[in-house]
Amino acid sequence: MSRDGEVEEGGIKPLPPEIRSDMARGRRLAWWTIGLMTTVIVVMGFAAGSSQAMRTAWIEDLLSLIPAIVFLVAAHFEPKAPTRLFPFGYHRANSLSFLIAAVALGAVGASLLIESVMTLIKQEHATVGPMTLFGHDIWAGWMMVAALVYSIVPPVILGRLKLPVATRLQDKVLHTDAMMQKADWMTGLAGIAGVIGLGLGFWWADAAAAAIISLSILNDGIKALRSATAELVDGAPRALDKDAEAEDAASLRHELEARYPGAEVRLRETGRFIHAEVAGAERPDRVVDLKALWPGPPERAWRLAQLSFVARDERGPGAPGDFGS
Amino acid sequence: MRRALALAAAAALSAAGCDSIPKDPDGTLDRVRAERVFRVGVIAPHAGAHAAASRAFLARVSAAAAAQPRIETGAAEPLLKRLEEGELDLVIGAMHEKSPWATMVSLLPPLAEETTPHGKIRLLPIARNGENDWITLLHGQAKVAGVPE
Repeated sequence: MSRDGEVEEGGIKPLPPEIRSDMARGRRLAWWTIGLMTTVIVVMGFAAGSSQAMRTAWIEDLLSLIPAIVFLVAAHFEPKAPTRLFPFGYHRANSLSFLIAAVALGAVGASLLIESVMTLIKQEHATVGPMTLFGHDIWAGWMMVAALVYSIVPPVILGRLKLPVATRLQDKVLHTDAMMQKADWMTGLAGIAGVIGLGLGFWWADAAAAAIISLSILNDGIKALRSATAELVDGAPRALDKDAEAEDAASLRHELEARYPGAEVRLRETGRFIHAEVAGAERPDRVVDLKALWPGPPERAWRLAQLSFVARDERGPGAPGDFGS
Repeated sequence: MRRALALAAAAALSAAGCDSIPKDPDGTLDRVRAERVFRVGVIAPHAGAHAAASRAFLARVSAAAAAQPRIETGAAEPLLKRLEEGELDLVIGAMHEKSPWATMVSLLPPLAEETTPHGKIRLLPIARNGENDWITLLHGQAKVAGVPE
């Protein structure tokens, strides 16, 4: 393998200064998520009783901690400097976390769908009887509704707070975490509708509401999973919220294609950063100002972390063993 | 917006239906009150202290629901199967808490219990899953008539 024609500009840097405060905010939000969702898990655990639907919601709440946890793990590794064994640094820790978070989100949607469809098929009638609270017998459904109302408050607030931070950081793990919070509050609302429906004598209400909500969660999970897989197999940078090329990446590609006509421009994403490769162009000056190349908003110029110039493979792009000549 | 609408709908629904919640999906309590009869299966053998506790419990349910019990006696499996299918409203019998039936039917507070060399045997009222209004009535009467917690 020869890299004779390659010049790398930018190199591997730890966290850019522009995003450090947002990263700190993201970490704080993740810790708040773990803390508050743990209280939700405890409250839901007490209210669940023997209700299978509530137990499923409880397991989903446990799964919903995963994106926040893997965000913190990735955020711990990402700023570390490259080492001999990890010469490209740890930017891809974010990509791996994104895959794990996406799988968790998909699993929540899938388990909710399977559970609710099975309940409808088997026509399981959930028993929610009375319970004693401070010496009074009340219908246990009201306790479940109270627990579910509590369970939707933290995710609504945290999800809203995370979305703008995720956008500024271009962090797909944090974005998936926000989607998980959306899944949490939607499941909570479905649960409330279901328990009240159950109280009104509609045994299928809980499962039907959950089945409808699960489709939306599963859709978010599949979108995230496609995007995470694309990132790990060097696909073009994807948008935060859909499996399509990111707008800023498309602008950068056009910019580089305009600057190096006839060359082949390839972009890929390692975590929140874009690595660009120009194949078959004349090598420019040794120093290229990456920020000056960035066609998007200047506050996001840190996204372009590396620009490499490589020899064109005459067999064409994508040829097996294409390592240059 | 969607969230606000859903919350408002849930609140309105709960406010409107507070007094009559929970209801029975298959209308057991309404039917019992209308027909003035509830169908009871008693798991044999059933004698001595168990029979006395059952009689006291059935008398309380009878008064609370303004209906008379129509009692039949039989083996556990057929009675529980008929309960699950809605052919009986109530089964009374000794059952272990970890019986495989525990998820298929609703076990209510014990009416009597005795300690044997093999552990505790509890005499339980057993209801069909999901008939929550009827279950609430049975639960309340079992708590009063049964073993103090």
